[in-house]
Amino acid sequence: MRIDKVRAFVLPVLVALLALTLSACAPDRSGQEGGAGDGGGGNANVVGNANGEGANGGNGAGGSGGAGNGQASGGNGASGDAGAGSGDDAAKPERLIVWSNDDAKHVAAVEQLAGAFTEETGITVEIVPVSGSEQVQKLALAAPAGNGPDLFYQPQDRLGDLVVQGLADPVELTAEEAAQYSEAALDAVRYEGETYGLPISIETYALYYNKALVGEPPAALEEAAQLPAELTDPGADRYAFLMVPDFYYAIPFILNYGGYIFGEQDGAYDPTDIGLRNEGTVEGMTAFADFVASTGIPPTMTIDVMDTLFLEGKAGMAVNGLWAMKPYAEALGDDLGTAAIPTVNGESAPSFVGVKSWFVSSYSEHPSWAKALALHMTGAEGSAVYYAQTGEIPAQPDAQQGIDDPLYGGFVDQIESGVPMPNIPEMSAVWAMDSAVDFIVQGEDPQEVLDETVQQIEEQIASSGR
Amino acid sequence: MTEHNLSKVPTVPGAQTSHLKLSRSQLTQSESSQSESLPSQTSQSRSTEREPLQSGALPSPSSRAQSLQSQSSQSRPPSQPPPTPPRPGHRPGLAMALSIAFAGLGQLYNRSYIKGAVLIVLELAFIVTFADFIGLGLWGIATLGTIPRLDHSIFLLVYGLLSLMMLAVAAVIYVINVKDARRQAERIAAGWRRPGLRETVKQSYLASVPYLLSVPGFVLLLFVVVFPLLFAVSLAFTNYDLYHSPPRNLVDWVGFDNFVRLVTVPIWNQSFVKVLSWTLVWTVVSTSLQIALGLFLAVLVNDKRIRFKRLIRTILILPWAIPNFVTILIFSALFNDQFGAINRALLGGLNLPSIPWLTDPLYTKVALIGIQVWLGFPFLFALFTGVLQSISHDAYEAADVDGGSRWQKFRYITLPHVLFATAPLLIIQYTANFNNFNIIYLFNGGGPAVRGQTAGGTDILISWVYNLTFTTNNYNMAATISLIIGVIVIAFAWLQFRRTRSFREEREQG
Repeated sequence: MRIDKVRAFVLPVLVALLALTLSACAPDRSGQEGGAGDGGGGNANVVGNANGEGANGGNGAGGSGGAGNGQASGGNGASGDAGAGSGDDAAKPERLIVWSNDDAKHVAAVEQLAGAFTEETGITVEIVPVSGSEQVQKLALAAPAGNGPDLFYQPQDRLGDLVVQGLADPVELTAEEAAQYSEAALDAVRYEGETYGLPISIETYALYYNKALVGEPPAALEEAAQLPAELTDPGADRYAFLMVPDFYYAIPFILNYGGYIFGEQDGAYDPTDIGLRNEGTVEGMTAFADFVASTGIPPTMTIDVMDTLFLEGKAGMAVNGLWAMKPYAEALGDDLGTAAIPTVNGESAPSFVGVKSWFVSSYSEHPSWAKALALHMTGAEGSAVYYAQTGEIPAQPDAQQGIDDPLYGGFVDQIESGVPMPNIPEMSAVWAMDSAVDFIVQGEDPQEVLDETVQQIEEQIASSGR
Repeated sequence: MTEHNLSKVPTVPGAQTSHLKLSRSQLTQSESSQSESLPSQTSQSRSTEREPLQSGALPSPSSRAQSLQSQSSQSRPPSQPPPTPPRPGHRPGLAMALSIAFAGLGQLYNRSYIKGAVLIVLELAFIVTFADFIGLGLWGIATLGTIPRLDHSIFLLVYGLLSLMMLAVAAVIYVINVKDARRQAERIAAGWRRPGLRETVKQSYLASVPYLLSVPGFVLLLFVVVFPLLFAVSLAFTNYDLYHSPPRNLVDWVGFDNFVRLVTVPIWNQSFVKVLSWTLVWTVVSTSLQIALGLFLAVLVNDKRIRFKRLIRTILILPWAIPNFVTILIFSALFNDQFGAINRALLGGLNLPSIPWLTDPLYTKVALIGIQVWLGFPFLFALFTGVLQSISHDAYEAADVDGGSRWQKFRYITLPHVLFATAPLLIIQYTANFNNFNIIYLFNGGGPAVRGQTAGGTDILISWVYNLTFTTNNYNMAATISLIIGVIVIAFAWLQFRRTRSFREEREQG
């Protein structure tokens, strides 16, 4: 009995002591709470202060500090030395850190461009190659610890992840600066109404064709099935038209028949409004399944098999990305042609477009200078250098026009009708559509499959923790 | 008769050493009852074991053990002066209380000035160096931060875990300190005479060498194995996903919510049960088959009548020589429904209909098991071949004399020998296949897709976890499932290891 009583007394005391100790251990930061209290806003303060030190006397509140900086650099001309422009309202840093993609060509391009920037401004640019797919993860740890870059590289479909984790800051672009980029590219790097990235290059897929087999690609994709029958003979591995039956490549059918991925409201995607089970999508997917069946595309087609067939001259046409151009051109030589994807349902085919961009880290101490560097690297001259080094299609329209390789023609045309891949984090759940496309191509009922898949996507989004 | 004889064979070495074993166990008993893990104390019992060797006076082990057991005062090395009368005024309770109050005080009371000073300095240094960090860490792991952006929950969790680990190490040292103060006080009260400084240093050196040598490895183990493990386990009890990711947001403790969600939320539970059951089937079937094939081939090739043994062995080991992922990718191409050589050349050549290897879950499973058997048998073949060659011919000759059949010889001579020697490795084969991510991921990406579930038809737990983490950023759920995987593997391995004869043997001897 007595022991029980003692226990009953001791336990609460111990718990209280523990709680007291823990609260005593809490770091004292009474001064910092106001500043960081409101997430994005608190961060904007940091930007304002850094910019405001010279001109605004240190009281530039969030947005106005950023805007002032933007105008200043705009006024001095964005063309060659955007850096000098912002020199008026922010202390010039000694160096900027850039995380580039670890691809050798990419690093070479960034080195060349950063060298020119250093010559102009005297700011050393430290280039750290970090694999693009690992940058977000590393940034989330390195940036808060003070080891992050000022500028980093990501495709725009990761933008939602970046913003949700608070790793990238919006950039204020003047009208003049914004005019550097195509509207589509800027659209792709907008999230919830704000522009975040500075577009480097655009990638999408287009049509490759073998001129020896197909003189001219058909005007409409549906006509591909009516191409001369001798082109298609599965027994002899001959195919008139090949593409991988995936959600990524099937999107023109979905969009042109009236389907959509996310509804849009005031320029922002609405993840509660998924249009992948509506009539349009069902019609589009039915048409896609018909198309695959009538063209004789094997449902298990993979990129590797398609490449092999096209390289061996057994496929007349193939839908593939820019990355395939080099091997295709080497194998086919002058017989290789590219074109925009033929129309689907009477309209030009909207392919998925990805925009690789520079983003300014939320933890950069010199965001205006980081922006200046990014502007320098993605301007007309910078883009030309980037294209020459990497062979990627620049997001800068002038530099796009400057491409004289005829093989790029099909891709530049295709970008016109492309749609940016949604950049909200909910998009990761939408890739469940890959399975849906598989099922429908294998002959299952589109409406049923889509209902099921969309429900799955919605559940996935619901359980993602937002 | 064979069985009876054979069951004894492995225990023969044990039997020969049995009397030695007995005395050793007596010794360890007396040691442990006296000193547990205390360095200074073990030094004494150790020195009694060694010094007689030098001085030439060699009492038998058992008598030494008895003397150790009976009274500690008699365990002094013979070189020490005769015992002094007991000092009942010296109070062990006080020494213990002082040591609890502050490490080293009890030792000062015991007049072990150097030891006491070292302990006091150690505790002071620990407090001065780590107090702030541990304070922050404890606060951090309890709250996981309170202000977004300023507090980074994951860093705080890491600090907290490191603090807990440091506190645990400190606590162990503290307990040793208290026990040491008490024991020494008891001995002083019983009339123990302190040896000279040189002697003490020598004794403590001898006692601490094994510990000192193993400390770096142990510390490394703490950071490389224990720390990540604790980190992963902690994540299973948080809401760490994309929308609760630092720096912008904080992570919170959610208790067992993730486990509850795993069994209640449809997208998790529908897939989880299916994935778990296929994982178990996959583990058992593929591993058992590869073991069976390895053993069959090893026995076959080991037969006296087989010629060109070396050549055959080399060929059979070849699949092992090619990197796994290369083999898997090649098989993936061979099994392609339309273009693969298996459907085309093999089945097509025999005028059989094509099999949807990559689009029908059942056939994909069959193909996966086949490939794993192909990949796994060479190692087992090599292993079993080695063991088979070490089995003495006498046993077989004796069996022949007794008219044992071929099957009996295999069942009662070969199999026990082979399994006895290889059981631990076989268990590792099972656990490795349980988590065999490579083959599942590379062969068909866990596919084909199955309607109504988030995992593919051939996803095992680990590849499913991979998808969760890398495509949907559900770190908390991934950690939860990993924890379950860990528990299953540990439970399985533990049960099996306990039943394994080779391990039991070791325990009995040790």
